[in-house]
Amino acid sequence: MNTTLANWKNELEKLLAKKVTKLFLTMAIVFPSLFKLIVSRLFITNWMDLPAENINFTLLDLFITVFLPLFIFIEATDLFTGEEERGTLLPVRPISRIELFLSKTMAIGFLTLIQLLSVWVSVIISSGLIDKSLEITKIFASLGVFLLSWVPLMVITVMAVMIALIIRSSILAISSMIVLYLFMIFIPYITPNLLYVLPVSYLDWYMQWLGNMSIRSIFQSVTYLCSAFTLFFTLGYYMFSKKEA
Amino acid sequence: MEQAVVIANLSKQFKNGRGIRNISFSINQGEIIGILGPNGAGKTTLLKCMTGLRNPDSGRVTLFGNDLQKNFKQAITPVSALIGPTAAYENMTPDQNLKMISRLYNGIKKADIDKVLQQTGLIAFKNEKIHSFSMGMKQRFGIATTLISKPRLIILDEPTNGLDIDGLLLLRKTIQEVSQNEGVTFVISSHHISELEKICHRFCFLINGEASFYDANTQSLEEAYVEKMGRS
Repeated sequence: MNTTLANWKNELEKLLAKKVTKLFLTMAIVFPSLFKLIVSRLFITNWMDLPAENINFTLLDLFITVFLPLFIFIEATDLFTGEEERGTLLPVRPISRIELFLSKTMAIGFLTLIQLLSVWVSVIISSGLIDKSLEITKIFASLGVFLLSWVPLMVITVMAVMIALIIRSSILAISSMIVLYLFMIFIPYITPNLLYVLPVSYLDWYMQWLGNMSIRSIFQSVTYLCSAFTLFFTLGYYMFSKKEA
Repeated sequence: MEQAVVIANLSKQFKNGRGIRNISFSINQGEIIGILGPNGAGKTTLLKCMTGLRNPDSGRVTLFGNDLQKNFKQAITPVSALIGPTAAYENMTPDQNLKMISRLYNGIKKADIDKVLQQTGLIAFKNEKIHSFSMGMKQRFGIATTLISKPRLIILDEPTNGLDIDGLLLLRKTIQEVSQNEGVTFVISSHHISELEKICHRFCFLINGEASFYDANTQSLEEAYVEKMGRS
């Protein structure tokens, strides 16, 4: 088997053996249905009047801005900073540094995608069963929206990996990621010019693909996301390649 | 006889002045080499440079004819190492850990995993999570991780740490068996002169970052060590 794929499988196995990963995966399946069930009850009693589609977007936003970044920070810290602390980061095995780095990053990215898809499945099923708003024609469009959301999350993943490689303590690494993330979320309210240079601003870029699409703004976003991914990936790999046990 | 390890002018210096200086030696296939030296002499640094865990400042390491710096994967494939604490995922079982290692090699079967667990006396604990293991059991598992890939060279740094008498005897027996039956080369660093004296063919004294060799049949190892320490 290809070494990168073999180790990707290993990294997935390691992550899936952790309780926190199981908790996040369960939450991705259960939370959307539960949320919709609660909202539908409120809707029946006329406390709120939310169109079903808006609830779906609210759920997606909640996951891509809160739960999934937190999941990425936890897993990146564990696979890089945590393993460095435990002495398992650099094994004496026939695997090159780039293969090791790639397989670890791919494992986090894959589990993030699985969670997004779990949220999507949960949203679709609950739309059909709970608020009876499921339209077959919109199923694939909504899948596209969820898949598009994965792209900026991969940029957040490589950024988190880079930070995890800079900091040598797990607690400090995860705290720094959270503080930096919150900073990037709130700083545009003070300095709006920074909005377009921060990767977190692109988390809801799926909005650009809905309604009247502007090819120019999509092209700008794609260029930014590719550049940011390349930059963080390269810096992260450079630091990883210089690591010594 | 094929040379398992060739080290040429290897140096690695740290800011505190410690490290290794201009070390050169070679090890033949099937030899068991003991590395002795006081704390901070550079034993672990030497072993880490031999396995790519540290990049040397200068010099070359060649393993079975492959340059470690230029051709890492080919050079490291026939090599296993246990350096520092056992590198295991403690929330997983020995079986799961060994399965993960086996994915990185060709031709390792499930029966091979059971065989090394049997060899290291851990077969009864194969489905228990490693975090529940004692220090000695973890060390035994560390030995199992070095055997699973059927290596031609095994590098062990202080392998007797944490082992009880049974573990010590088992380790000695395993090293001797694997060396005799499969012709595996061993490089073992330890503080325990008497333990090394029982199993090693040749000894490398590493003192203040410099290496010198002694054959097992020249004089008592302890005398040779004291003599060497006295001179430096």
